[in-house]
Amino acid sequence: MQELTIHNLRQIDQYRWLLPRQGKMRTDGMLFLDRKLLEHVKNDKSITQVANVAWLPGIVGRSLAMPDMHQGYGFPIGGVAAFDPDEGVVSPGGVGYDINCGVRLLRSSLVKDEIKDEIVNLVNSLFHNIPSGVGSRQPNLKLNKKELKKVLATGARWAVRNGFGSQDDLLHIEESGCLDWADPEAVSERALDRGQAQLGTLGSGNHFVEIGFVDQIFEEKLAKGIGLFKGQVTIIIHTGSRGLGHQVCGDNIRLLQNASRKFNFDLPDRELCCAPVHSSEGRQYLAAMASAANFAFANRQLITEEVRRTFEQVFGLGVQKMGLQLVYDVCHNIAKFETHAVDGKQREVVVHRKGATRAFPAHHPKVPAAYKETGQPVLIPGDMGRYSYVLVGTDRALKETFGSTCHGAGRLMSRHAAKKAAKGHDVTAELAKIGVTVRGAGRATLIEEIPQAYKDVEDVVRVVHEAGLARKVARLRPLGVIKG
Amino acid sequence: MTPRLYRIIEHTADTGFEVWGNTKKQVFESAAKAFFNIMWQIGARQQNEPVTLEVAGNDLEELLVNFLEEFLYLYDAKGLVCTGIEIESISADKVRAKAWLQKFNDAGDQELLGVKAVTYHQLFIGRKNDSWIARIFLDI
Repeated sequence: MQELTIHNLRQIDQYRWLLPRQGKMRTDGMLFLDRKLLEHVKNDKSITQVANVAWLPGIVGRSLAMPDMHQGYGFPIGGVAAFDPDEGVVSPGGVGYDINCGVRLLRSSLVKDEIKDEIVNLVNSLFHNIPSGVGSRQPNLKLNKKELKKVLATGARWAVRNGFGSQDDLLHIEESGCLDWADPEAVSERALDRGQAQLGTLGSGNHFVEIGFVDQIFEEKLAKGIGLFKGQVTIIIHTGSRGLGHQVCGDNIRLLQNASRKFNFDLPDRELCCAPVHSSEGRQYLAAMASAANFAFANRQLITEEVRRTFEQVFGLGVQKMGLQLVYDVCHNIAKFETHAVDGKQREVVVHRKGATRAFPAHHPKVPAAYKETGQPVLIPGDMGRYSYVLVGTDRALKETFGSTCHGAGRLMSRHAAKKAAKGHDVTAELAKIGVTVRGAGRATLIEEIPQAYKDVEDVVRVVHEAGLARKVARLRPLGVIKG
Repeated sequence: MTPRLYRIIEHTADTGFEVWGNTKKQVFESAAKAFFNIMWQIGARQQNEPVTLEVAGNDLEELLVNFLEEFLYLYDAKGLVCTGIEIESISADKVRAKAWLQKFNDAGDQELLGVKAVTYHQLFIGRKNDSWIARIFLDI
């Protein structure tokens, strides 16, 4: 397949770029970008990857890319595509290795000034209490395989049933924290081996726990509707399904490569291997993927409880008094059965979101009662020095992107370039100077994750807001971060 | 390890590496060594007996991915790092190697990079002129 570039795009409006169907594409592509963000995708393969996704059988609507799009494996990061359950496929390349990597936001009744003297203590305590880093293991919770399978079957529900959090938490998680079509028997022994000691651990790379505060409100009514106010202390948790999810993806790429040969699929990239949704291979992948997604839901739930416990330790106050309620938990890497209007008719499709966030509008049946009037909260984390955003979903997103929006800033520099840029700098000290206390499991991670290595998340958020794929509610600034 | 045994290939969000060797065996061995070098810095080597690993795959590319993934599994699930590798044989669908494994030691060893997976993205293994080359991208 020939490389596609920005010259293949046709501008529709300020934020929409059509990639017309060509070659073996079965549909058009649509990219949501402004000119500035377009510059970033100019030199990578992400436009070709949008076209590659359009090759896949049974694709419904367009092959979509969110403004934080960049080169990924198979789908671009920021890629969204839906498939017909009868004629379409499911592909691990549309989900990624870190199945249900996602974020959740907690709000509190504390304000910035109440915690600022304790922030170093808080960060150190969080770092001590939450295992983080590359091979992080959970010393206090080694599950046997029977119990682990219960986690895979029931996700965050398992956590709540075992004393980690409340029923109220479950109401504020995408899919209530459990994909009920998961089947732990579809998960390999090797994946179970990798997951056994990793529940309740952060992992490494761009995963983090961040304490911050609301520094700007864009729409008072929406902010109030989701319980946010200026100066309020917030906590963001970003992690996924750890080694278990990585192994599930790897296992099923092997399986679906065989299936792709069996079904004679003409594919432009091995990472886009796939199988018909209802073939035995497709069902196997979906059952295993959902199990890994449930592991990730439970993982974020356990870490949430660890955050609550740490706040209790540090402030000597009860959780009730401090609030620490879950605002919402969203998935970044997932494939799910959802009902969408296609050509004026409601139908079931399998939506793949790879580095993209569900953003359903007000009054959508899948949005919890608490957010019926505001729309589903969407959290867009930025880098560790600048800010993150809280948005809500919109009708327009539902219409144009299967109810999807962006998921983050996206890298600007390679890890090597970040190391070079950080040379001679004391990253921790420089962040402290701008009011952010950081602890990382590895010095290397901190350096690779310097704020300059990322795009300004504001550039991405502005595009989804202006294009109508989400609405800005509030901006959060970091005070303390623990990095994996 | 001699520094010229591999080359890092980096793109904005990707990390990959390229290795070379005179034979297929050598390029597999170099790929494994480069992979270990990228992931870990091992303090003290123990004098353990090697274990024999056998990994299967449908073609050469799958064989290479599965072979490297084996070490991710051993590390993640069992906390084992590999300090030495010797390829015994490679057939069309199987690789057999002797591996020197030891427990990761929090005090003396260091984790350098959190690798989630070995991918098929732009994966290449094959002959170029007189030597063998492999190019592998990792999900970080």
